[in-house]
Amino acid sequence: MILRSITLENIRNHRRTTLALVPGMNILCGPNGVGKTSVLEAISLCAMARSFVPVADAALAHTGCDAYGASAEGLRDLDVPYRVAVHWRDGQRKRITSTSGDGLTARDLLGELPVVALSPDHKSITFGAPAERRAFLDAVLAQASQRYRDLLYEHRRLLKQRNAVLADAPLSGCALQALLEPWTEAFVDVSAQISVRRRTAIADLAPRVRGAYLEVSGGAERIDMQYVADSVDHVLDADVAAVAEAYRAAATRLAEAERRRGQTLFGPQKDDVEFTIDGRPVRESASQGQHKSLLVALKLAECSVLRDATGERPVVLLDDLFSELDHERCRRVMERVLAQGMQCLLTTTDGETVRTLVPKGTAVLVATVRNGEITHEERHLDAEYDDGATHR
Amino acid sequence: MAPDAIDQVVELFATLPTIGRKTARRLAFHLLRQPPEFVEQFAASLVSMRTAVRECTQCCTFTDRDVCAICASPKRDRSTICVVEHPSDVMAIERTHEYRGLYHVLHGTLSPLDNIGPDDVRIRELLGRLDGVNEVILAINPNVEGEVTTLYIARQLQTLGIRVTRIARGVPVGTDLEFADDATLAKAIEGRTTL
Ligand SMILES: [Zn+2]
Repeated sequence: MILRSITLENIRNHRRTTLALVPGMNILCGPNGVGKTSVLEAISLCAMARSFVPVADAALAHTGCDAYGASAEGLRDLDVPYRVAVHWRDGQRKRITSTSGDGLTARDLLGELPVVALSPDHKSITFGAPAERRAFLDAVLAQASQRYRDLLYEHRRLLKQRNAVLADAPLSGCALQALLEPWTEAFVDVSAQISVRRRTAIADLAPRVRGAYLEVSGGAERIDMQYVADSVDHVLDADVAAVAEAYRAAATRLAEAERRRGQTLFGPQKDDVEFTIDGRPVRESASQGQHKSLLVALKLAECSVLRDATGERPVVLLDDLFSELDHERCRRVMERVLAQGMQCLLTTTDGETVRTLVPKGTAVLVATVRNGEITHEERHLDAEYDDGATHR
Repeated sequence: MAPDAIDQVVELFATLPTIGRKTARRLAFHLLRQPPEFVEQFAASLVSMRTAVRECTQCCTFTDRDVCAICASPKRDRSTICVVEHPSDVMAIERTHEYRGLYHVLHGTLSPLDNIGPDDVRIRELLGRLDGVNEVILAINPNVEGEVTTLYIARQLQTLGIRVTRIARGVPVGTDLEFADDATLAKAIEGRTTL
């Protein structure tokens, strides 16, 4: 997908902003807090009906507004025009329309406009709790597969319902058993499909992450990824039926504890992904620089997975990349993204420097943002900015 | 400023499914523009519907008699019961002209989150009317709660040695039976599978 334009209505400090984009590198520059990131968030809204960082809808809306909207127009990779609009009003469901229809849900929308966002907030993927890594993996799979989106929804729903049965303590053992059994059966079935899909996704991601890491870091370390599954780790290489059987066994084994605690104690909502660097766990032994290179490598691998799964080049959103990585690594990231023909939007406080690092022959937009408005736009469709610094 | 009486009606309309506040206000103002006799008749019809219509003592669908027309009919095959969620599902299946058995209406699905257990849907009533029944067809909407309700009822019936089937999944997931087209629904009943 290549976006032609993005429009923001009452998002953060933007009143109404429309920006025409170029197919290559779109640089949004200006001091902190002027509304650069909001443009990236608007694209995220158009792609997934939410920002790429956790934020309440009311907080996304312009101060004093109880509604906001984001819309985009572009061209699919098979040269079919695409447009999408997402509108939110306080107390109502988001209104989502796209070329594929009206009244869409976020579940319908996901995957139409694949995006990969990298923000300083995403550091928690390699640093943080297991939930952060599950969320990353789920987000990749959800954009890549409609079936996985359904499974995630069903899993969340079944977990809540099953916990509600377990929390209803006064039930006697026998009555509880009869009532719980069908919920357990459905939960086990969906859980097994999720675990196996996640494990398969990790196997698919790992070599891509390894390659991207070498390219970005310029180092020689070997990255490995391992899916760590609760209750079913010993059968995870088997098929869905065997994994379901292992979950069933866990349900039996944990029945007494679940009744006491009044909640579900097994399932993929407890799983983790373990990263190792040259065989040592990343969380314990990686340097800051290695963490950063790994995060970027994960996002680059996500780009290639999504491209293969959806047949569509994702749009890449790089929020404040230059505050996190040194110039050389930033240059390599941009080079890789642009070499694969993906459209990129990047925010920075230093537009001049970024421009000198963009590879030769790339279409470049430099847009200056001030107080929620675009105050200056420059488009360069040739190699004008290929100065001495980037010559070899 | 609208008088309280209007506000009250708007509030009430807004409690109905698919009616938002905006539509509720439009409906209220529409009624205000009608002659008083129309509104009186409208209100009286609502009251008499609520008083006259109750659940069939056998299948639990809505009826204005003790036993609904289908349950009372000698032409229906009494050895087969089709279990559905809502009375509107009965009408959807009847439209296909493919099914000659009886029905049983649950009026909902199991949902512990909403405190809806087996006694809140008409499962006990179903278990009490199985004399002479050879087959129970489960035609509950295939969403998360519907699937689990299907499983739950199937377990209860299997212990009684009754053949339990479910309609084929020709009905797209998440689509209510009510909205499935007749041909799809007919095919789904015909292609039912044993549980
Ligand atoms: Zn009846």
